[in-house]
Amino acid sequence: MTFSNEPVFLNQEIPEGETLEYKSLEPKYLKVKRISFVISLVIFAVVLGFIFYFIEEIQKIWIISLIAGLFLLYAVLEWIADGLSFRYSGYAIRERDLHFRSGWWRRRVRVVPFNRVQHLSIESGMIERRYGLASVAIYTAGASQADFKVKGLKEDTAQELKNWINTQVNAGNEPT
Amino acid sequence: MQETNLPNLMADWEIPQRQSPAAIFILFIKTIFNLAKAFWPVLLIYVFREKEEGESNFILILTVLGFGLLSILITLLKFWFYKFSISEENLHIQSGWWKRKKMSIPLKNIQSVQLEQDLWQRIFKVSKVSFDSAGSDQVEARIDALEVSKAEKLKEILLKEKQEIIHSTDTTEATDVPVSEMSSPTDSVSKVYRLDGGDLLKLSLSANHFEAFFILLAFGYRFLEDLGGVMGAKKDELMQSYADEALNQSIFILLSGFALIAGISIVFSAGRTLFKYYDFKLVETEKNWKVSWGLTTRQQKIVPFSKIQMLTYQSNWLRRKLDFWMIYINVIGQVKTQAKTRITLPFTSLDKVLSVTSVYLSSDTLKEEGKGIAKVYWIRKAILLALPLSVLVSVGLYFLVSHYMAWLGIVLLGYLTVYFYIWQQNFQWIADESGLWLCAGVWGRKYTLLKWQKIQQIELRQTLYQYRKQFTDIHFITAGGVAIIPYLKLETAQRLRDEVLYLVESKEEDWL
Repeated sequence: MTFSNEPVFLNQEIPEGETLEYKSLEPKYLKVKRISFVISLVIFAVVLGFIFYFIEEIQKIWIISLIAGLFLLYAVLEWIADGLSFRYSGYAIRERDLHFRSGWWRRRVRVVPFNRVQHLSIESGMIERRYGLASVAIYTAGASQADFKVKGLKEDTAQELKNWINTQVNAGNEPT
Repeated sequence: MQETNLPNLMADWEIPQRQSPAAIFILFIKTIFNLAKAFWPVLLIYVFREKEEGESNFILILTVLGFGLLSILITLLKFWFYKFSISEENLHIQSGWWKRKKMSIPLKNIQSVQLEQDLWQRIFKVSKVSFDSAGSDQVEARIDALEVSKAEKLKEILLKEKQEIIHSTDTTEATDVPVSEMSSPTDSVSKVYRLDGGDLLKLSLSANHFEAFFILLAFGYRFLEDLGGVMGAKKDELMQSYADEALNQSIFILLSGFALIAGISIVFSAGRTLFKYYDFKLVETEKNWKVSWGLTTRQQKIVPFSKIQMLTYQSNWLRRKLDFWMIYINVIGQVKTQAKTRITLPFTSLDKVLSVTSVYLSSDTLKEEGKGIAKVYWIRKAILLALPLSVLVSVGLYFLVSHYMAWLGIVLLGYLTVYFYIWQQNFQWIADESGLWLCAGVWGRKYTLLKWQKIQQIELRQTLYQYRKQFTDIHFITAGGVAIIPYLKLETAQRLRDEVLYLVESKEEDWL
């Protein structure tokens, strides 16, 4: 790929985001994701089952097979997409910001500069904990879509990452 | 005295500690309330369904008992796993049993600490402590119950570092202020804008009348239906009889009804706008705008320039002809109760708008030719949005209304395609060292101004198609809204992002 790197408005050498090396997420994270996906599928299937059991009007072969087909199709596609998304996902840390990319058929690369971070937290659900994983959530001000999560890290890595960002935040905000 | 006490105090707070045991009771009440909120439909159905004969209340009692026990269990777990501590620079809060969360809030970012006492807290002589960090929508962290004396000490410690900062900086917010304060000549007034009678009339007449029109049209339709009901005939038959009797007359009635509704809706929405913006006044001082407007409910607001996160001004088709513009500003405050405000200001010419908005970002750059976005934008939108929508409308009309109406779907497809095409042709963006300007619109125009300094996060988003063709949407996320440039060349977007990041990260400018 030819990368032209033509300046938009700053005519000087600046650090490039594209040369960054992204660290991939823990392989166990895919497992965690799939387990929780299966659990949610089962719950969804049970709810569907109840609906079909109680409403007699929709107990027709074609409706049931249509819904079941869509359900299966969704499950398979999501399963494949999860796998592909996992391969693409990763994070990169620089001195002053953190990049996280995720998704597959909708790819996202999000950056948060440390001098905008309000606070941090480490979160781990039941299944994540079983596999020794955790995520680091980064909060900036304002908009609800502004919270930022680095998922699929080892517990110590998460702790380290959080501490490191925290140091950067506290050092950077020093009123001079 | 404080100087000698505080270090000792700090030591007490370094060990993670639980809340006051009174928290168990307060949490219990909250848990029951939450459970009831989640399950009330089930409970309601259970209680009010027809009972079979000889059925005892045994199951009901069991359910209530189960709920009680569950609540107690959840409460105890919550209480046990909730701990907080203060290290040198951070407040730490850990919570959760099922989903564990360890939060660290840098003390510098804690904007305010609130001590509150509800009924239960008063009974147990404890206090609720909540902390706000900047611009957050919700209270980020909270201690439900802490002995009052302890709570006050905690507040003191947390705000110790803040004291100097709070006193030194200007803490004005986008607030409602009493009228008397508005006229106090404390600041040097540099500019004043007013809407005179003629301007107000223009503003009112150019308001969006369609909304009111459709609402009234629906009423009119219902009225006709009711009329049919009264006369003992169905609406269709009523129409039929009209047609049979005197076709000309019925068309006349229909048209005049239409015109009447149109007239009423214009008067209605114009009147509404008139009431809202009556005697609009904006006073620009060195650091703030003081704005006031309204006839029945008069509103006053002070907008400090530093609190403006993002700014847009726009005009619909008619207003553009009249050179009439509305400015929308997204303001963010430091205190939770005023987290986000959107303020709308009407202006009578683009020149005035440019002069007013220059306190945020100068619009001189807009005279230059901006950059565009990829042509495929309108093709993709036409295929992915306009086509499915039109097919849906066509099919719906075909089956539900009449076979002939299905043609409207094709008209819709044509209109939307042209719409997206013009949108793509008109879209322009300009970036320089200070910020970003976006210009968009088909019949009207919308300008978005964004100072780089206000950016919180940046995101590149690609669909699979964009990924293959090396295009991307770029989102600039601020604390008061998002500015989006769609379908940029990937390398341009990446370079733009890197340049903006460089500016944001190399300067320690305050965004608040």
